[in-house]
Amino acid sequence: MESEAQNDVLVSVRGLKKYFPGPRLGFWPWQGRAQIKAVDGVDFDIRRGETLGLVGESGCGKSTVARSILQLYPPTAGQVFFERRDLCQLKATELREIRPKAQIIFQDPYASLDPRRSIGYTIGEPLLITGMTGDRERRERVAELLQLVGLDPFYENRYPHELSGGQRQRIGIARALATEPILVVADEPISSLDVSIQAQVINLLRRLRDRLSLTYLFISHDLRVVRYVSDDVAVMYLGRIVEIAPTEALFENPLHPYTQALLSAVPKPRWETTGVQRIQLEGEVPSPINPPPGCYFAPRCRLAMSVCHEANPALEEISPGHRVACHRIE
Amino acid sequence: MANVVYSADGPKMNDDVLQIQDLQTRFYTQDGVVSAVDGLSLDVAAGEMVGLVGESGCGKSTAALSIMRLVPVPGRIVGGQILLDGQDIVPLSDREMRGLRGPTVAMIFQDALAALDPTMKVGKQLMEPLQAHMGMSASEARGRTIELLARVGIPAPSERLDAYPHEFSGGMRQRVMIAIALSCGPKLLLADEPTTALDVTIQRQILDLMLSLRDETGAGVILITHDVGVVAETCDRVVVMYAGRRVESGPTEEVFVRAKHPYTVGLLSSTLELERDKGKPLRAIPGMPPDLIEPPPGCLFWPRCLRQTELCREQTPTLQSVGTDHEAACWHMDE
Repeated sequence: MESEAQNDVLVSVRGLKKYFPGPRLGFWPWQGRAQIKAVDGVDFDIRRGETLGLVGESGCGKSTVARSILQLYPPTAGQVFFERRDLCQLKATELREIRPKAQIIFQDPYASLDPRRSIGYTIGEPLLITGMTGDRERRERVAELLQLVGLDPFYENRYPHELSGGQRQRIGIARALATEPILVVADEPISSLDVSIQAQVINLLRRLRDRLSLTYLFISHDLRVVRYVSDDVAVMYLGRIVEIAPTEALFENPLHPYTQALLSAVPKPRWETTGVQRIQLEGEVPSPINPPPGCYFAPRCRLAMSVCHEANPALEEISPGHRVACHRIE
Repeated sequence: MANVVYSADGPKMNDDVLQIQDLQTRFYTQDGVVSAVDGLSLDVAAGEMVGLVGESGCGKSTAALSIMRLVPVPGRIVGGQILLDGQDIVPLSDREMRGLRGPTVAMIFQDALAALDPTMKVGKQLMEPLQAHMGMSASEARGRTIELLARVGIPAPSERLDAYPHEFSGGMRQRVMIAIALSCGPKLLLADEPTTALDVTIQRQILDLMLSLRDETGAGVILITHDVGVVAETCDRVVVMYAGRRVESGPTEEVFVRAKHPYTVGLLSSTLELERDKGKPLRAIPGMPPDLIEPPPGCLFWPRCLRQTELCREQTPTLQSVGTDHEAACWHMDE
């Protein structure tokens, strides 16, 4: 029974959609606006203690998924089950009880810290909000958190502008961990950092995951990082998941043409030519306002057939845990 | 034609488009004198792509701006020679240098939106150097511009002439910048993090474009990046910089497979490649890059180095040969 509890599903997302209002369709307001379909029907599960990597290029909707799950953007449609309760249906007061358990680390360590508040205040704020009103208790917890992320407790009196990018990101991590969450959404946590600092922060995130038994949703555009940190990986394109599989299965045997193109585009040392055919992807990602009919990837797909331009393929399981949305693979 | 100044060894005898000898560029700031480039020497041959790697603040961008003679105030070149096609450009006047930018050397930047003039149509930005440097008439320049845009892969180029930079996507803007840089056929192209801000599939397109243009024009290219993977794939040679100095250099495979300098080793161990040995731990380099204000004697990497000794703190290591065309500067290389 214990092992079942270990691997039970912590987060379950079904049919998640988030549309934003776009440009007007005509001169008159009553003609309405186009919709930017940032997230257009996404399903996945994250098991307790595991890391799901979410990859895709700019505009694919991965950051929007992160924020929508946590209800930072109210979803347009869909269900987000967290500990078996649908977050989309909860009232504000009920959500407030759940929030301490599901936290987020943002991409930009320069924008996500209030420049006018001390580090100690910023990390302590979530504690204050969740009822830890005793100053001494909070300071102790803040000191503990700073040490957890590898910073000296005296940093509590510093301000963001006095710290480097890597240090600020550690503050963001400390803040996310303040309320002892079980789920941490990491939205491109290392993309803004210098390469030599990225490794430090990745190692920190892994250590914390093991030490605190965290579950991560790890969002990144960098496939190399995702492969290193994730147990499962989902690939997004224009608001949809096109392939989802355990990490090694995805990287060893990518099935979706977009996944294949993505992997092919990652730079590899020229002396390690494995004879793998380079897939040249032409053109650019279409706008999420006017997605093409049928499969969104069809216009750029080297394997597109006529049905691809007409009907949108559903995610289907091809092998255990490996799902792909492609008419070619069925 | 300006006075041509030859290096002390006489006129250029090989096909190097660039020879930097002991370059020193400093910034005179309120906090002190920052030695951004501190005795850098490197060469680039025609048709060669040289990767210049290092973390932020190592001086790679300042080195490129020095080659372009575009170092911003309060910085200036205080020593050394930069031989561009055999001619030392350090003593040239601004007017003489302006004649070289475009036909001899050109630069592309990370952020195309910042580098391009937002208030000028793209066609005009391309036509300007053609008319100024190549003496083309407006209609000749227009025709050449359309050819250039087509060559860099901009669809419907004649229609795009009248578009403004913000109307293009990131990848397309980068192509426009490449077109402008190559329009007058430079012998040396400096690319400062040209693909860092782009998605991986667009990065692939831009890198392939740069490689094919290099093949066509025979230009030498310096690719500045912190992405070691990009260098491993595209560059013939690599120069590793740390704190304003060259610490290791050589043919790419040689340096990456047989890295000798502890910083290079550290950089490679802390970089994730796609095909990675799962058992290999990700080793971050401890600490942070040094303050370049009035650097102390000795090796500037020693505080972060596992092999450090007293010698390292006292004497700056010199570059030594450690393999075929492979140099590194460290007192403890075979450990």
